[in-house]
Amino acid sequence: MAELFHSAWTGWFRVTGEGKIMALFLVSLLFLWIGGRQEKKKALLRYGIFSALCCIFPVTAAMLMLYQTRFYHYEWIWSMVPVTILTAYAGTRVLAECWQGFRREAWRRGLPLTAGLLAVAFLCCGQSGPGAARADERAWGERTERILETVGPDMEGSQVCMWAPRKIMEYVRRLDGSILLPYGRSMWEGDLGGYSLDTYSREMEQLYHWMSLAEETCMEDGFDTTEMVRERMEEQMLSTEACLEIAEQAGVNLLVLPENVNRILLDEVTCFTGVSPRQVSGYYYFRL
Amino acid sequence: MNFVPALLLALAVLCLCGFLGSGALIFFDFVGSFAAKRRHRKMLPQRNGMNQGLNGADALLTGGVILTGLAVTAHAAAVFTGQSFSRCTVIFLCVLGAALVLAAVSILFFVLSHKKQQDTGKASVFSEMKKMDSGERVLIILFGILAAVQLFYMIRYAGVYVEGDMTLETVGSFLQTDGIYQVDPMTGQAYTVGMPDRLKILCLPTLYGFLCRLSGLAPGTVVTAAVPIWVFVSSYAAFFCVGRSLFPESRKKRVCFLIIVCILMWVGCSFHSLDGFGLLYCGYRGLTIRNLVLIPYLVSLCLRKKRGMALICIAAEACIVWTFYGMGVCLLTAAGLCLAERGLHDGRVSSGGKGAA
Repeated sequence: MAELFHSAWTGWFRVTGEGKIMALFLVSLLFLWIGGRQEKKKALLRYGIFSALCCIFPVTAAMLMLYQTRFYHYEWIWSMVPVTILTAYAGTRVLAECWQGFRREAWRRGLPLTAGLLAVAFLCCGQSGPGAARADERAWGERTERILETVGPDMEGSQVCMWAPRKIMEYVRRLDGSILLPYGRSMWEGDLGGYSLDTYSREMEQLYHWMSLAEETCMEDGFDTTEMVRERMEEQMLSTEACLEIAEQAGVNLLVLPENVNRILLDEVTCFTGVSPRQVSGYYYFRL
Repeated sequence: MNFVPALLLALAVLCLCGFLGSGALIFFDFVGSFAAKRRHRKMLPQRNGMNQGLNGADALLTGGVILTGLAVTAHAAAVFTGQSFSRCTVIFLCVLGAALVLAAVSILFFVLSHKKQQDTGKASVFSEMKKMDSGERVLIILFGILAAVQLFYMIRYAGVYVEGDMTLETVGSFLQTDGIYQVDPMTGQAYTVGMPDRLKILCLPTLYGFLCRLSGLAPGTVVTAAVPIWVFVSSYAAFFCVGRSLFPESRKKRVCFLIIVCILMWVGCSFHSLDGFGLLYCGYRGLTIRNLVLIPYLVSLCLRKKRGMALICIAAEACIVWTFYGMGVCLLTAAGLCLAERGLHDGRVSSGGKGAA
């Protein structure tokens, strides 16, 4: 319950932190409230104000979060508030008044105000969005596709169970539903765990930690990470041999590692599996 | 990704929704008139279903909700009787066929019984278009450009945000295993314990799976390109309905309202729970459909006092989003709007009473 209240308390700041559409909305509510006497759609305005207040106050917000099954975070309770509708309604009323019912002759008053509102809208835009990461996402998709194309003929006739770095595992299930994984995106995206009653075993978590370690300690610009690998393996009580055994038990028959994986890990894998790695677009793969 | 097939599929689904919705609105109107006649035991003035504040956008949105209803029927039948996905597709085709026949009969009935009115209606549409002044045309063109740019951007960034969602993997696993919720979509491995029962009712992945099967397109194309286009058009149709309810007197204001909505979508595209973000980056999600199609449509229906129709939005939400035992945001919104309306009505009555005293 404490967590729920904390989420309800901090949620408002999270919602208002990215972009200022909420500020626009609150200003719109104020405008409509002030002009309330002439307001024809009072029911919508009343509902908008009441629902917004319910979402802002932590106690009612926590109740709404319980109502929406606790599966969804605080920000989703704002779905019940007609933010876009009321903001656009207020905007239309302002513009209609300034343009005197959208008459061309009213441009002296209407044009500067329209430009001002557009500038305000522009300033209220958030800085980030996933659009910026598009090139990166596409590159990962293409990389995964290339791996699958190369590995495909090698694995023909057998059910592929792949253990690979996080991003590859993320894309592989989207590209080909026939490929199995020992663990999936729900391992590192906690929210996805809500879709299943199954939980990951400790062994699977070990596999995940080992692969994360392999990814994080890749050799870059000649920087030797061997010491880091040893420390982290000891810290997390990980052993390459044990992880490979777990992988075998889980039915993994394809292991993919980054090309610049630390030599110590690559040598251990080669030694324990007895399979020599093959290369494909920045990755080593082992047909186990 | 080739977007032409996705665009064509979206267009086909929109046409299907429009047809189903038109038939359903005529049917509901006919049933409503018949019930009213029986209740009052007298002839009422003839009512024209399309002239009761319901229009093409309503038909499109109602059709979308009906399509979801048909999908959930087939989905539930298959899940609770352990049928394969192929069998589920057959069930879906059967119920869709029946619904299309019913819609065709309703439309035919409407056309035959309103032939004269329709002819005069056509003339009035043309004269209305001629009457449109230049300012109105400029606003409509501006909205068209803004919407087209947004659509282009949306297609370009298709499927870029997948965090917290596994629709694509789920559709892929349905098609791969020919079963519904048989394997964990994240790993492809069979469930050991299973999944929550309340989630099993959610039918969107099944509906997308049907579209993949029937069109022959890959899940990636259907889920991240075709469906968001359908949702995009439906969303603006829903906001158009809201505009009509808010500004019934002026078309210019309605178009201006849509332009502002379009701009607000850009403004709100930086945070994952805002409307703009949903529309531009993840139009295929149940939450996006609820927030951008069902809720605006529900608001417009409540403003027009068509509460019976609002029930279908509440039911549709329960089929596509994880709700509190079927009670979701649509129910809260509808209840809130009704209470606000009633409060105003009571206030007016009591102030009127005092005035009279």
